[in-house]
Amino acid sequence: MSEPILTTRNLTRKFGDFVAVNDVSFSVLRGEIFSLLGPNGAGKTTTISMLSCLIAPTSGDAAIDGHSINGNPNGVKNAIGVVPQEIALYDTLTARQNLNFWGHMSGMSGKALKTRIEEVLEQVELTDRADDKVEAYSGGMKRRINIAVGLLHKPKLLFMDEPTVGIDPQSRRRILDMVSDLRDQGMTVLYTTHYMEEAEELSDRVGIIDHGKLIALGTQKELTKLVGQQESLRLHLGEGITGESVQELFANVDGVLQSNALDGEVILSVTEAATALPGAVTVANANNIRIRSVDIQEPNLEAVFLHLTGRALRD
Amino acid sequence: MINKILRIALKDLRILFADRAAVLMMLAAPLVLTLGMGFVTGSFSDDGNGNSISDIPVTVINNDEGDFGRILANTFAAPELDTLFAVTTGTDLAAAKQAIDDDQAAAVVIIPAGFSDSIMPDPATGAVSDALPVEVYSNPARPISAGVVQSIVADFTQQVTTGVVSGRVLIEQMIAASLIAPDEVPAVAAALGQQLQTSGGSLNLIGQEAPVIRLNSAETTAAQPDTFDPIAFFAPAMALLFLMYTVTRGAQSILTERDEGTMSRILTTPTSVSQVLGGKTFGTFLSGVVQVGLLIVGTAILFQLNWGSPLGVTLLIIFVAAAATGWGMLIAAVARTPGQAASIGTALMLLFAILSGTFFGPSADTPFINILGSITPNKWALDGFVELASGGTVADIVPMLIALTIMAVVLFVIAVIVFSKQWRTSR
Repeated sequence: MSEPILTTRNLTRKFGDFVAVNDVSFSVLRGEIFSLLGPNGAGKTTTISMLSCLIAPTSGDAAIDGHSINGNPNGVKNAIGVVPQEIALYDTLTARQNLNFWGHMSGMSGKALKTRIEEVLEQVELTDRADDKVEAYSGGMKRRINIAVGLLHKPKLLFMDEPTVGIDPQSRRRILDMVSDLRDQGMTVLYTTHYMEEAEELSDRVGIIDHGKLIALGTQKELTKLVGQQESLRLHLGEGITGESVQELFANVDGVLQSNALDGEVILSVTEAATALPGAVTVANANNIRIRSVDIQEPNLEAVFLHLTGRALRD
Repeated sequence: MINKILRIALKDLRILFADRAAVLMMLAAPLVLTLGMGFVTGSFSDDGNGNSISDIPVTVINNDEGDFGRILANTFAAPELDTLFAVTTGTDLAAAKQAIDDDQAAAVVIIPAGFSDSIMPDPATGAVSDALPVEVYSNPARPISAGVVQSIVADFTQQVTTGVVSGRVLIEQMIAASLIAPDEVPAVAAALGQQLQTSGGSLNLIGQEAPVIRLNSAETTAAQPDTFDPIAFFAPAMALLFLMYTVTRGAQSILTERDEGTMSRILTTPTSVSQVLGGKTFGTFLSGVVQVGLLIVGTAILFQLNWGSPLGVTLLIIFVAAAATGWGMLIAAVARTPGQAASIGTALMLLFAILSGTFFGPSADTPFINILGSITPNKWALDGFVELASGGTVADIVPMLIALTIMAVVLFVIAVIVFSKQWRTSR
């Protein structure tokens, strides 16, 4: 895990006046799982689209396995596999027929393709349902076949764009385990997500992206150092109380460094949770605000995002 | 390159034919409509029991006392036509007409008194006057059977007329060559007239056996314009109507793939935009070919329809599918959503059907249809199919094939230009 398989240089994409990706530069090392973490609309999918040669950068370039996305898109396409955010499969075909088709599109054929189809079906644990039409699958199963298509031709670099969106916790767990297995097999993965826990669990390194700009990059340890020893107090408020209306009240509590509002809850960045919590409860009581529950969190990527942007990841 | 185009096309074909609703629209609907049109036009009501053409009830009233009347009357009772006609001879015209009104007869043939004499040259001068017409009363409820009777009478009349004209020309040439003197004309004319009578209307000038009137085949009869089987029009018309449905599905599938992300996903593999569009276009074309091909085989079996030259039919299927695919690609290029494509496609499908006379039958060959219908693949292909069903050859449909080729090329080029612009914008 040393040399980069992917290097972007000042990658920028504009849609009219709107800058979706702004001067983004980073590298992904061979064999690592690199996560791009950011809220919806941060520019993650646009970045993946440029790297997979679907849209051209307005400026800047990227090299994947030695091929420029501007100069040699076919070389890039041979090196990558893509698991798009939307489930891009043919519903009225079976999983096996889908895999067969996508295998041919990736340049595979014959016995090698047949063998590989069986392998990926095994990998995503859908061998017994391989001859069912995809339309009969649950959301989680569709997601797994969606991943299987990306893995089919054993790409050197796999792009996974929010692969767990909209599925149940059990299926999500299954997919995260699958991605962990890929790392164990030595595959390089560029993983985009807006779930902080996924980035924390899977990634060797994380790039935090917001409003099209890469605002931080490093290992989880390196990133959490950015917020020092801060902890987070998450106050879940009673019904009818919006976070915005009480955000300022908690900002003045002793020990609170930053107060951020979400729907029905307030997140406080504090130097020490045990010290700040009594003050927060007192303020709540004085203002007739009911606190339904409190979570105390160690420094994490969400705190980093909060620290860097002043907003929570789910904003 | 070609392999991926084929893969995409076959995938589309598989998806299309796995969709039961689509198959119903592509295959069942045109067959049912053809069947309906057949019943509406009476194509299936002959002999009251389906589509078989045999034992056609025909009444012959022979008021002529000469040989020509006898020969014509005997034609319907000839042994080789024994199974085709059930002949009744009579003298009561009113009763015969009543039999038609009661659907007991397909036609009444009335040979007028003096029919033979009207055909024979004047023994004194050799002059020939206009023959008295043989009348045929047809049963409109039995268009095919009545058409067969009319065809036989027309065939007979034609042979007799030819014989008379030949005789006149022969006499004139003999006078011009001084082989006979003008005063010998009556005797020669009488001799020729005698030969004309004994040969049933044909002059045997070079010693060949005189031809007899015969019905060569049901198809030959159906090939005559006035006895054309409406099903031979409606079957291709309905197939072509629903061909537009199929190419619209092709257009929709391009937009659906774009919206659902499968097209983008294909483009993340080492597959070019031209391969994807080529595959989608070829898939649409193949779907059209398979659909029209199946409908032609189906109608040939179900309705015992003779489509004509297999090579011609195959060429027409290929060329009309290409032209229709051109329209499909244009729809895909201008529509923003699959729903829009469906709406445009449905509108074009109906418009083309109207402009090509699809709903009006073979009699709809009006200047309006000829001019406006020319922009539709339906009109050209329909003309071609009708031509082939009427006994035409591949050479006869070359103009239609050229028109369809021009249409396909022009539409495809326009679609590619529009697609290219869209692609450049999206990149």
